[in-house]
Amino acid sequence: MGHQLNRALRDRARHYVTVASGSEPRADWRRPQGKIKLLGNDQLEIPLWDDIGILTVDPDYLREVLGIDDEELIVDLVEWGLAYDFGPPDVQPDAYRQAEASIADRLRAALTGRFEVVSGLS
Amino acid sequence: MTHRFVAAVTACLLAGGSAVVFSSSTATATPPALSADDGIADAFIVDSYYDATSFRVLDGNTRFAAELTAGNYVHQRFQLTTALGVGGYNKNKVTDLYLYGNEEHKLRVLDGATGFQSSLLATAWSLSGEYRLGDVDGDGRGDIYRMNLSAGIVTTWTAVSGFATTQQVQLPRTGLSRWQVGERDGDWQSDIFVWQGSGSAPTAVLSGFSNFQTDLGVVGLAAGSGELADMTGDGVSDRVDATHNYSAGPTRYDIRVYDGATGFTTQLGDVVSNVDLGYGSHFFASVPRIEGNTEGEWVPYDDDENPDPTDETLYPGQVVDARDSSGPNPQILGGMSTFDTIPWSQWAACGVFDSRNKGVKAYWRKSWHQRMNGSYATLRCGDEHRSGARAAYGYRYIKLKHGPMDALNSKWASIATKAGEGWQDFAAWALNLTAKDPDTVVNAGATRFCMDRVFGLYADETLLERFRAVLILGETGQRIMNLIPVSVPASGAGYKCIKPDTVQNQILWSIAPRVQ
Repeated sequence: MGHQLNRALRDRARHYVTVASGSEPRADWRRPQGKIKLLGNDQLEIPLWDDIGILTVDPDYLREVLGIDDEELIVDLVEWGLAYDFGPPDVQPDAYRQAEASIADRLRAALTGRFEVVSGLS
Repeated sequence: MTHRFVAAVTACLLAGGSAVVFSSSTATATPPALSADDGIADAFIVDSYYDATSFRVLDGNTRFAAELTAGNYVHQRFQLTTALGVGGYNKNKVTDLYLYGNEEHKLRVLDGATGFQSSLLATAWSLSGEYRLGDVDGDGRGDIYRMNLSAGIVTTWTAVSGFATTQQVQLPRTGLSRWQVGERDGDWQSDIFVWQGSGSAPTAVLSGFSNFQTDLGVVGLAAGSGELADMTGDGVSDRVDATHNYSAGPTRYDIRVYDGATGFTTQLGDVVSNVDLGYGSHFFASVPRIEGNTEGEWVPYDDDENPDPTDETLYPGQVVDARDSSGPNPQILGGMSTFDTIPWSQWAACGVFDSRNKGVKAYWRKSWHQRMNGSYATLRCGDEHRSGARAAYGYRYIKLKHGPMDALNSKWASIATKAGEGWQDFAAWALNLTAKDPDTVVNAGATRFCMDRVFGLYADETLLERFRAVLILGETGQRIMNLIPVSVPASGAGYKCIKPDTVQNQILWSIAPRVQ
């Protein structure tokens, strides 16, 4: 179930998922090393990190490397990433935290047995 | 009487020049007639008389045939002064007149917008030596240069500081006899041209971008006493030789122009003969550029990303830490630069009781957009976390996110360790280079600017790490929000300022990364 933080961000997230898919050469991709960390940062649409650094900017990586087949989760993740740059009144802090917890739970469920997901770092 | 004035920018000035004076009268002034705003320098002629100063401007675009304006400026008899030159002081695209009051011992900047009838600034000053006007920091405002040629020391005063901030720089060339300030590489930060009048010594053009440490290299200036001005509108100073032609008359000159783009080796057109440049001073100069935009307007912004009124004021190069400085900022060489060592960060400490407004260090950057105010960005102590509408920012935030104790395994620290450096020094080094000489600048939506640059860390010939520093600035480009280190894959893709989703991106500057 998606969490909409902000309608404009939601629209932009859907747009990003569409146009950014396939934007990275697959030769650049690597398997995550260590835990996958859900952590927002400035201007970071896909807020996932590993021990090396930012994992990707390409939604296809989520599908093909991490094996996430829940498209709404991908859009939620990007919307949450975009929301990092905004505070109230555009994005309410409580809703932002709730979305973070929800996305982390859904990522854990989607990646169970393959990758460990941690959040609450920011 | 009609009072009309004309002005231009980046003219040279010489202490003890003709007696241009200002008036404190309250007479109604006609707004000044400007020199042609066509990017081509005009001749700005000043003649001083008993109780008035005459002004004339000849249009460079017509090879000085057309007189754009002329007028007289009445002043108190025998009052003052030495004309320092003309330049933009207050960012309104109207040229202002810089004067030294010989009797009051003050530097005055007379407002071009009021026909030089009011002072924008009057500050205590001591005139000594040779002066020029130019743009030290690339903000489009006329800064003041003073040169000691024998010792090779240039002293500069910036307009942004109200000429309160002085910087002295030891040049790599000494013992030369002539100098000018002009633009060689088109980067808006004036370069210093030094040469021997005899033409026997090599000419050097010292890049303003490198704090005058790098010779941009140009030949052919050594002969003559050329002034520098852009006569072609290409953003590069050309050499303008105005030679007295006494046989034609005491105020008559022959003018030859040599193309700066060819290292002054090509004469542009034939000699222009018998140009009346008056008895007094003359300058060749253009209308001021305004902070990198041509709109001439400043967009007011008033949100959380603007500087706080209580922000501590710093200037680039200012060291606020109590330790001894290891010298000025790293010298930026432009293009591919290599460094054997990383200098000390010169970052002021941020203790737990220090205000978020405390300045850590300021960094030069160009003004890439009309929303980007001033010519530098400041790293402040900042906040680790967002507080309502105010985003996290500054040193504490960078340290939390990317410093030695962060949850991301300390990217800055891990790279710095490979380099045998401390994380702060390494991050500061990358920040300085990224701010001053970025690969990419993006207007990232309404409230952020993004700048990035790719770096390579080598051990001998072996590439140990290729990383990109992503610098996030606030809405007006003054506040340093974040400095993010990311690995760069072979393709060059990954997290950077230019996004796959270009909806929010306005690319202001982009070159191929210099480290592949």
